[in-house]
This record gives sequence, structure tokens and C-alpha cells, in this order.
Amino acid sequence: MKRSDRDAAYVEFVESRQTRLRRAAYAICGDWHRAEDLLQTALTKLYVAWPRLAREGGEDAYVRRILVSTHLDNVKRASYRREVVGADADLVHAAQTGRVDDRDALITALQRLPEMQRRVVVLRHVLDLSVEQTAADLGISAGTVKSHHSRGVARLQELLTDQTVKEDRR
Amino acid sequence: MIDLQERFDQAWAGEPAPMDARQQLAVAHRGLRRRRMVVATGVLGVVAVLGGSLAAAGGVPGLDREPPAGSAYAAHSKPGEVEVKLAQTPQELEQISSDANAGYTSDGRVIVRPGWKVTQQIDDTWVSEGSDRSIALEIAKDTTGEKEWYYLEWGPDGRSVNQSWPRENPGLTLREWAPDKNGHRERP
Repeated sequence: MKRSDRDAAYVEFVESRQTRLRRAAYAICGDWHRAEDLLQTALTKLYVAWPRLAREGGEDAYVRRILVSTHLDNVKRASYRREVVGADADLVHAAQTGRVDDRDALITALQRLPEMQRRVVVLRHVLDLSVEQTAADLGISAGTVKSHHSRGVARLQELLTDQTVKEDRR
Repeated sequence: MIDLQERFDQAWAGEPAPMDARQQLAVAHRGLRRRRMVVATGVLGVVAVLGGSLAAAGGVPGLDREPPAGSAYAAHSKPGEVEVKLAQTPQELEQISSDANAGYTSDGRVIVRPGWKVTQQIDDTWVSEGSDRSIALEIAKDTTGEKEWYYLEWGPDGRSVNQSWPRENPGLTLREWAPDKNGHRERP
């Protein structure tokens, strides 16, 4: 593949996928700037692997996996973990003061889910992946995806309802 | 029951504008260059260790090492046809890596820093995807005779990949060393 062909195919890929991928990154990490960084890292790694992926296919799955694993790497860093704890505190504080609007509430609530539940919910609801695709991306069984999904969604409902009730009482 | 899908749709309301895909492409190009540097550095490390072991064990029979004393070019290399010039202006020097003493300019000329001269040159023998031309160089410092090796590639957008290696290398000629990186192959 000529470099110009590779670049053109890559640009087309980025243009057609970036919005959805960035939303997924945002839902996973809870911050647009960090989401932008995550996406940039994933797309750069995608470009490096592009010749192989163009031959074998699987560009979408590859970039999704990188997105998730890069976030996981970040989470493992202590400083990042502290910020996530801060985000939890924000939700509690916001729920108490009623200053969180709907759009922030969902993303903030997502950050309170255990890592795997959050990833499953994001892959299923933001990227519209099937149970099987989600299982393949995360390297877990379809049954485990279903169980993480139902627990994650239930917990989100709980968190959001709780917040809605608190806001209604004000 | 909260409609999760609806809540997700609301969550994108404050979404920043999408980035320019061409800008991302430029970032990806830089990423690829970094990756190649890392791979080549790793290969050099392995080669250095293996070569050191071989040298310690008495070397490999038949393997060429240093160019003949007093010769400007190694036995394997012919003087190159590509003209390698000394950098003439600071603007030219800015176009090569700050830690390199040789490199491609953005318009595809090969330059070396003042104070260095070319002692071996292999033109356009290896290619990798996306590059138009390549050159392997051994350059020597005028004052001390210290030598460095470079493998340079140039692409149509001014992209260059370069690696250097002090001449105190064990067990390889420039021709053996240069393609041993990043899957380069002989130009057909």
C-alpha cells in the first residue's frame, strides 16, 4: 500500500468514526479533554498498525481495544485514581446540592461503576456493539458481558433515580 | 425507569467540535516516527549485545568489520552518487534533528553538519513503506575522527527517519547494519 493511499484511508476512517469513539472515551473517562487524549493515542497506534490491519481487517475492534486499554493504563496510575475519587465526590456533592444537570449526572454516575461494568455499558450503549462483539473486545464470555451489563445498568438507574429524587425534593 | 439511551444522547450536548482528521494524521506520522526510532534503538541494543558477545568470542569468520585503513569507503560500499553537502545555513541545520549530525532537508537533500565528512555512503538501497529514497552514511568528525552511522529515509512529505550509531560497533558493516531495522528490504 502506498503511503498516500494509507493516509487517505486513515483520514477517511478518522472522519467517519471519531465522533462516536470520542463519546465512548468520554463516557469511559468522564472528561472531554482526557477523552481527546485517549482518542488521539488510540488513533495514533491505529496508524502504526494500519498496514497489517488493512490487510487482515479489524480496524474498528483494534482502536476500541486500544481506547479501553489506554484508559485502563491511566487508571492504574495513582494520580489518575485520585482524580476519579474526586469525580465520585463531585457526584455526591452535586447530588446534595442539586447542581448537576442531566448530562453531567449520567457521565459522573458512570464513573462510579466498577471498571468492567462501565466498559460493558459504554461499548453496548455508546458504540452499539452486540453482546458477542463486546465479549470479543473485552476478552470475556458473552455470559459475563450480560451479567456486567445488567448489574451496570441497574446501578446506573439506581444512582440516577436517587439523584432525581433528591433534586425533586428541593 | 430512566431511559438510558435518552440520557446518553443528552450527555453529548456539551461535546467539543471534532478534531481535524488531517491534524490527527500529522500526529500519527509523528507517532510512527517515534515508533521506528524505538524499534531501531531496540534492534541496535540487541545487535550491540550480540556483537559484543561475538567479538569477545573471537568474532565471526568472514565477516567484514572495519574499512581498510586509509580508505575513505568500506570494501562493500562504492562512493555514492547522491550528493551529500555540508549544511550551509542555520535554516538548513534546523531541518535535521538537533541531536543528529546528518539528515534529510525537507526538500530531500542530504546534509551533514560542518565539521563532519562522509566516509561511507550507500544510496537508495533499501525502502520501507511510504518512503521514496534512502541513504546509509558513515560520517567522521574532522577534529577527532569519531564516526557515526546514519540510516536515513525520505518521504514525499519531508518525513525522514534517521538513526545513528557510534562507529565502535562490533561485527557489522554499514551495509549489514543499515537494513537491519524495521523490516526494510532491498530495493528490487
